[in-house]
Order: sequence, then C-alpha cells, then structure tokens
Amino acid sequence: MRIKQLYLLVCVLLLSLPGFAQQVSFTMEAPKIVELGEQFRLAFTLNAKGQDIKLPELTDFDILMGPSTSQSSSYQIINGVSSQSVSFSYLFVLTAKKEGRFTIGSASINVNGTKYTSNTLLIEVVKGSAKPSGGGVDQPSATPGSVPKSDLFVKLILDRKSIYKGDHAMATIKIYSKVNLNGFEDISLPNFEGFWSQDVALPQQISLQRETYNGEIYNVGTLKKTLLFPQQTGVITIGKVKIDCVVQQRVNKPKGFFDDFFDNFANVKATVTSDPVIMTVNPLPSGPADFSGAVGRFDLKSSITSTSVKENDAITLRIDVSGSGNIKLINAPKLKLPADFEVYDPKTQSNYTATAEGLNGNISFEYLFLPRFAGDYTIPPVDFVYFDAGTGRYVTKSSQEFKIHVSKGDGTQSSNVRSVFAKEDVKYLGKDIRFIKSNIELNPKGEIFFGSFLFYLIYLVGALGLLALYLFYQKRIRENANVARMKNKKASKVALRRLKEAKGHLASGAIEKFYESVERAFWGYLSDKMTIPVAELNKVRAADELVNHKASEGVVTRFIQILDTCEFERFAPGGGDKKMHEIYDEACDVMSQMEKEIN
Amino acid sequence: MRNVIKKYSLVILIITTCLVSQGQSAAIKDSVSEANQLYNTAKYPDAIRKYQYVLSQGFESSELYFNLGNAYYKMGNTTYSILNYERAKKLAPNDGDVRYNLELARTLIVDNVVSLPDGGFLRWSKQLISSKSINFWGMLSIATFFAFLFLFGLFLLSRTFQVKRFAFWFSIAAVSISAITFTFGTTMKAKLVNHKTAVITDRSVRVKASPSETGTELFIVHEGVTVQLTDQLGDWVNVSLPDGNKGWVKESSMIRI
Repeated sequence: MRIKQLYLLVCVLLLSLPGFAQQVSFTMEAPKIVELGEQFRLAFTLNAKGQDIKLPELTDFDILMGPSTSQSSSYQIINGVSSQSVSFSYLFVLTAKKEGRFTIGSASINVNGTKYTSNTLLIEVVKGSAKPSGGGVDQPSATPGSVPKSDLFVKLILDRKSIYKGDHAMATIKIYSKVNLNGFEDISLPNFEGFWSQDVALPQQISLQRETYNGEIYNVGTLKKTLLFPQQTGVITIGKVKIDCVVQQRVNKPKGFFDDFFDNFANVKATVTSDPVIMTVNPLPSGPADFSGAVGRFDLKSSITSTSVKENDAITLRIDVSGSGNIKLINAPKLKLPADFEVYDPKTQSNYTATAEGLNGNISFEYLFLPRFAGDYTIPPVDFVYFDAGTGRYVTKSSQEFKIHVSKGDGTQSSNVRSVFAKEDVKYLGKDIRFIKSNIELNPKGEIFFGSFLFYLIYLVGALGLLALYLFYQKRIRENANVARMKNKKASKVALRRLKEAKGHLASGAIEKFYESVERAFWGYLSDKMTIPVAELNKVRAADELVNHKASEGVVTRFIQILDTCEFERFAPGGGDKKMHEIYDEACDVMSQMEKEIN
Repeated sequence: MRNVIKKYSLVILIITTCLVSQGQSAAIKDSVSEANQLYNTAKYPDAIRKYQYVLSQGFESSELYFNLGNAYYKMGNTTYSILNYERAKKLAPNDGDVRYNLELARTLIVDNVVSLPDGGFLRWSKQLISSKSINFWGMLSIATFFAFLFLFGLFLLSRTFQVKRFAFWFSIAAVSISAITFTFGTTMKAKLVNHKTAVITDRSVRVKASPSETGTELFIVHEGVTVQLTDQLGDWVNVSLPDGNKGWVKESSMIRI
C-alpha cells in the first residue's frame, strides 16, 4: 500500500517536473519545551538553494551561535527517470531568557527571487532543574546499576476515566526519562480485559519528545496508543505496564591514568512498572428497541441497484453508515422486506482508522434479495439507532423508502425457477385475531323469534286454517249430498210432471213437442237420480249407469227402445196418435219400473 | 271470514314490529359504524364504550359481541374478550371467525382446561344443533309444519287413493322433521335464556367442595375459564369445568354469558 502510494507520488512528482519547479518547502523546527538557560537548536530546512535568511524577532531568546549551514543532495533514477533533490539546513543555537510560553514568528528566505516564509513555533520555557544541563555530562548516580524512579518511569494515561459502555477512551503508554535510554528489551502490556481494543498506528521508531511533568522536563516516548471500547459496565481496572529498559550509565570507577580522558559507560537494565489505572464504565440509558450497540456519531446513506426488475432478479440494497465511534461493533440494521422475497445474509464491509475520536470511517451493509413474484412492493425505511455519548441521547437515522416494481419474468428462466419453488406452504407471518365484522344485524336483546308469541301463533294459525278448511269442505260435501238426495227424491216427481206435460202435448197433437218432453223427462230423471249432469249423458253412458245402478236388462232395453223411437218420431213423424199413446204408456211403465229397480 | 281477519292482523303485527325496530336501529346503526371506525384507528377503549352503549340500548347481535371481544382482545383484556366471544358464539354457534378468535384468546389464559370428549351421538347431535342459528331451526320447523298441514289436508280431502297414500306418509315425515327442529330450537333457546354458562373473571378462584367459605378447597381456576353452572345455592353456584371437575364458587367471581 505504502509502496503504491509512494510510487504514485513519485509519478506525480515526475510528471510535474517538466512544467514546474519542485515545490519549495521551508520549515522550522525546535524542541517544544526547554529549560531556562538551556541551549537548544533552532533548525530550518529548505529543499532548494536559498539565500538571505531572515530570522524572526527573538526578544525572549539569545542567539548563541549560528547560522551554520549544511547541505545534502540526492539523485535517484526510478524506471529510467532521474530525479534530484537537495536539502539545505540552517542551524542556530539559542537559549531562553525567561520562563513562559513564547511564539517564534516565521522566518523568511529568498529562493530565486521569491520569498518563502516558514511556519511558526510555540516554545514553552520552564524553570531549570538543579542539575546542570547540557554538555552531556550526567551526575553519576548514587548507586551504580540502578536508576532512580523519578528519572525513569512509565505511565498509562487514559484520556477519559468515566465513559458510557460502547463509547471509547484512548489509552496512551508513555515512558518518561531523564536518563540516556538505549533501548527496550521487553515490553509487557496489559491485556485490556473487558475492552475491545484497537491500536492506533504509530511510527515504528519511537521518537522521544520533550515534555514537562511535575514541572520537570523529561524525554517522553509514546510507546502505544490504544482505543478502548468497554464491553461491560462497572469499574474496570487496567493492569500494569512493565518495561525492561536499557539505560546507558556512567560508571564511577577509580580513575586510572587513561581513564581521565574517557568516561566509563555501562549499559544498565532498569525495569519500570506503571500504576494500575481504574476506569468507570456507565451503562447506557434504556433506549429504543432498534438499538443494537452503536455508540458515536454516525450518518446513514442508502442506495439500491434497481427499483424495476423482473421476477427472480437480484436487487442489492446498500446501507452506508459513516462517522466515528465503535464502527467495528455495529450490527447490520434489520431490513423489513416483503414476505415472499428471498433474502440473503447482509454482506458487511468496514473501512476505518483508529483516531482519538474513535474509529473513524464507514461500514457498509449490502443486502441481496430476490423478489420472487411480480407486483409492486415497498421496502420500508431502515432505522439505525445510535447513542450519542456527547449528548447522552439516542439518535435514530432512517434510510429512504424504496418502491420496487417487479414485472413478470420471461418464459424460460422463470419456468425453470418456478419448478423449484412450484409448491410452497402458505407462510404464516403472524397470528392475530380475525378482524371485526362491519356487517352488523342488530336485534332487540332477548327477543328471539323462536318461542315467541308470534312463533306459536304461526303454528296455531296454520293448524286452525287447516281445521277451518276441513270443516268448510265437510259442510260443502254434506250440503252437496243433501242436494243429491233431494234430487233423487224429486226425480220421479219431476219425471212424472214432464210426462204430464207430454200428455198435454199428446192431447193437443203437438207431435214433436210430445216426443221432446218424453226424452227430457227421461234424461232429467236419470240426471237427478244418478247425479250426472244432463250434458254428460248419452245413450251408452245412460245404459252403463243404469246397469251400475242395478236396473234390469229388460228395463234398459225398453228405455233405449223408447229413446230410439222418440228420436225417430221427432225427425220423421209417421206413427200418428196411436204411436204416441203407445209410447206414452210404455214410458210411464218403464219409468215406474226404473223407480222400483234403481236406488 | 274470521280466519281472514286473523291472518291480516297477523301480517299487520309482523310489519309493525319490523318497522318499529328498524326505526330504532337507524340511530344505533350509526353508533355501531362509529365504533367500528374507532376500532380501525386503534382507539380501542373508545370503541369498547361505543359498543357497550349499543348493548345498553337493548340491542345485540353475534357480530356486535364479536367486535367488542376483538376490542377487548386488542386492549389485552383476554377475559372479557372470551366473555364476549362466548356471547357471540351463543348467538351464532357456527361462525368460524368467532370460533377462531375464541380459540386464540383461550391460548392466552392461564389454565389449560382440556374439555372432555362427548360420546359419538351426543357430539354429533350437538354439532348438528349448533350448526345453524336458532331462528333457522324455528323457520324450518314452521315451514315443515306448513308442509305437513298441506299434505294432511290433501290426505283428508283427496278422493284418489294414490294421492291419499302419498300425502299421508309425507305428512308424517314433515311433522317429524318439524318436531325435531322444534326440539333443536328449544334446546338452543334454553341455552340462550337460562345463562347456564359463565366466564371466571377473578384472577384466581379457589373452588370449594361445599357452598361455604369453610369448604374444602378442591382446585384453583384462573380468569378466562368458561364454566357450566349446574346448581345454585344463595351466593354460591356449582360450576362444572370442561374437563369434568366440579365444585362450588361464589357467583361474584364470574360473569354469566
């Protein structure tokens, strides 16, 4: 990675070479903290040849020496392209005149007629220690082989001692030294139990910087910087840091002849241990249900690959969470997809750097899903909840809502897929009561048609109706029977009356009317006697009925004879009076005979 | 002639009852739809108040009890939802929705009372009776009774032997059906009128062996259990659980369905 970047940089530089001169940089360097009266170096570096350096006003410092100039140049060929760089440095030796914090203004220099200015510096001047400083001459220590605790110690420093669970704190391990540190043999670090830790990248080489501690200047090296994310609540003790250092110490030996000219130095092993540190982790206040442990400050972005697809085409919904906090520990927020989508586990990708503000960067979740059936679907917004430790509040960020149109897949592919999913059980998404009914038929309370007065009344009315009908019919039948009996009784009387009528016609000689009367007398008689309408009577029927009513054969023949004669005489009269008398007598005789035989 | 007058007066009676009840229920119907609206917008307590108002006006229906039961269910009041589902079931024994919701509500109560299986014929007849509403049985009984009257009339008045025979046997069949359905109706009516079932409403009730506070405690039932009432003595009622257990409970710890 680094090589790649470097290569890129070189390429860019090379490309820019022909057009422009190399970017000129003019920087000023000095220790941040110096003791009063201590000599220190103020160095300027320039990557071009310059002249006429102008120092800023240094009222609080004395320039003891300078400028001493040095120059270095390098020439390199990469992939056949040559490049050259030069570096000029100007060195001054200063000493501070009084305590306090002073700003050294920017210096300026002239490069090819252009004036460049340097950066400014802040220098803290502290009261000098009793020891004579500088000159590289150390007071010999009281006991050789041991280093006093005040001269060399290690500290584990937490930037915050009381945080919420899931929030972060920066643990810095620093070594403070006044002695000549030659190196470290063994560093044992605490294992940060109860925390999820992430180291902050530091330069490989540990560089010592001057810092004041308890008003004294130490050379301080930062060994390690670690971001700590507590995973449990309560008071957590972070263990000790133990470092075996190698210190160069001057040995007090009886001075021999030659020794007068050389100092005797020995490498002494010194073990330093830090004090345990205590951190209080507070539990998070109770939060919303969607909260899944994200603490920090985040932003949410969502995107979708497509909103209009065919059945069984894949769609990817991407949710990007960016910001700072415990990014590594963020769980994928729940995506509420329509039920018959086929969903795969979200793919998580994170990219972050550890900084003092926590893990800085982003984490992305990619949800891949396949809509299986055509239709219009809505993917509801995804809620991402995080705890803002700064404000002590929960914040919910929602992604946008997506509407997806799924159209029917084309034949071949979908039928292939269909065969796999041909049959499936109905998916039960949840169990709930059936919905209320909107079609309500209200009945008065307690009034049930069954068993009510009306209910029984209907039965009663029906039964009474039938009874009435029956009685009515019975009466009718009785009445009808009476009529028949009357008619029967009256039949011979009526017949005799009609025969009398015929006798009248006989006397007056009205032949046709006579026979008509005889016929009518017989028909009427039979009709009444047998309760058959006159219209339905004819000779055959009459003969049958007479036989049925037990009339004798002779009577029936004679009756037919009379009717035949009557019919014949009516249409072809020729019998004269004598015939009429015969018929009349015969008719009377048959009538009386019938009356006897028929009941 | 008198018969005719009777028939007309009957028709008039029916029509007037219908008209009166319709006029009353017009305003009540609005209350019902309002209540349904409240339910739809998840304002369950208000919906319950409205349904109760309709009931207090002297109206009822299976659907009304069903909706009220639903509202109680959504409020988390399982006991009262069971009570109202039971009331709805009483009026419409064969309504699938009512049965479903009642079953679902019963899964939420404390006691898991397993009902004793009825014998074959008893179960079959119970199922048959409860498969239709009481008024269905009533109407069927009336219809078959009129069929019987017609056939019997035919039997009495017809002169043809074939018709007479046909009418006689069919009239007997018709009157039997009428009698059976009438019995069904009476059975249901007895259930509706006598209020012989109740739902326990106290959180937990100690069932005693005798109708007094000093009686031996037999078992404990919790709210939501449906019990049959078999006897009554003062404040105490003899309850019979679906699983066959029996004992005495104070009537104040239950609500009759």
